[in-house]
Amino acid sequence: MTRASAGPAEDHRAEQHRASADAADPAVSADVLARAAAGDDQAWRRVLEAYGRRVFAMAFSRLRDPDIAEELTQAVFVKVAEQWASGDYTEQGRFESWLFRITMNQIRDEARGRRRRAGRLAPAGSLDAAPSQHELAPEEAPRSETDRMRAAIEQLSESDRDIITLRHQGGMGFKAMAALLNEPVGTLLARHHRALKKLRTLMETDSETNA
Amino acid sequence: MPEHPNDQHSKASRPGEERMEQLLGRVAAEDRAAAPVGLEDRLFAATRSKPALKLVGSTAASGPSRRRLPLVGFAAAAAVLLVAGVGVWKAGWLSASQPAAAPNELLSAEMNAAESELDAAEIELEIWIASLDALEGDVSGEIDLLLAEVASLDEAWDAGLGASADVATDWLDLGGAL
Repeated sequence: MTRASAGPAEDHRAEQHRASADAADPAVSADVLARAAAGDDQAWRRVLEAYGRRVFAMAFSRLRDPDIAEELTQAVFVKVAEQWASGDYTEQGRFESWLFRITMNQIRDEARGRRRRAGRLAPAGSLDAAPSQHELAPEEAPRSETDRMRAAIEQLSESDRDIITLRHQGGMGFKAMAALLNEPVGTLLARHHRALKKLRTLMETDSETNA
Repeated sequence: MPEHPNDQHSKASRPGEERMEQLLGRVAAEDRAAAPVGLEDRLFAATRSKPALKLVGSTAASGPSRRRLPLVGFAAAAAVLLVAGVGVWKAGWLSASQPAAAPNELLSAEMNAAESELDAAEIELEIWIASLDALEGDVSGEIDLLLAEVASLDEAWDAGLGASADVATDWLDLGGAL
């Protein structure tokens, strides 16, 4: 990450190389996945150790509630285990995409449920009962850099947030993300790059506002 | 002429992006660290407990009552041990409080006392099991009612979705006609 840039074309190639390297180094081998799918407890534990916290982090980053994030993580892995037990799943090197697709769907369902509940509870005219971090009063405004980054992420569009969450909280490679989101790797690289630029602008604006 | 994406890319400051990536890495690390201790063990238990419960209950009941069967079995076993223990203790107390008698008479009296205690214990156990069955029946009834309500809500939801899809199709048809 600290290397000097030798130009945009090289940057792009390096990023693509990193993306393919990510995809070529899965957290769990195909053999372990096959054994876990066949009911091997030891292999299943390895899958949970490799992916449990990544799924939790994705849920926690979007829902900000550790209990709900844990429940959601549990629901995701119960679904995986049930699918494996039913014999409907065939390992074709796309486990990570499948797992994180289930995770994103669960997060969306939970977020939708929250919005519905907030809509019922919020007074007339209000769009959301729970204020986001960037709406807090100045004296309560987040101070740490990571808190400011979280506030900036909240201001991204849903699709940009998905890319950031999958890439950083989920630790996904661009190739697996491309399979999940059904988009070419190049498009995802460009979208990720644009999302980083937006975050940078948001962080800079936030610094100027607080200065 | 519109700007080519590669041109946009060239204008972006790599150090700025790297800084953002580092920060995102720190945020992600904090989010992973927020996971409770023993998360993996709990996930393992949650994903492995369901088949075990199904196996225990598969011979008798179906539905929600399956999961209560091990609990009822455990309660009944505890009841047997408790009542039998009380019986044995009482038999021992009776024998200790008897006046001195011939060995055969003493043995016979102890056996009779133990038998009557066992009979009483059996009756108590039967009453207890009957009350447990009644309790389980009540709870099963309540759960079945709740499940029926959930099923009807699901149907209503599906019907609503079907109606929405029909409206969408109508709009598409209308759009096509126009």
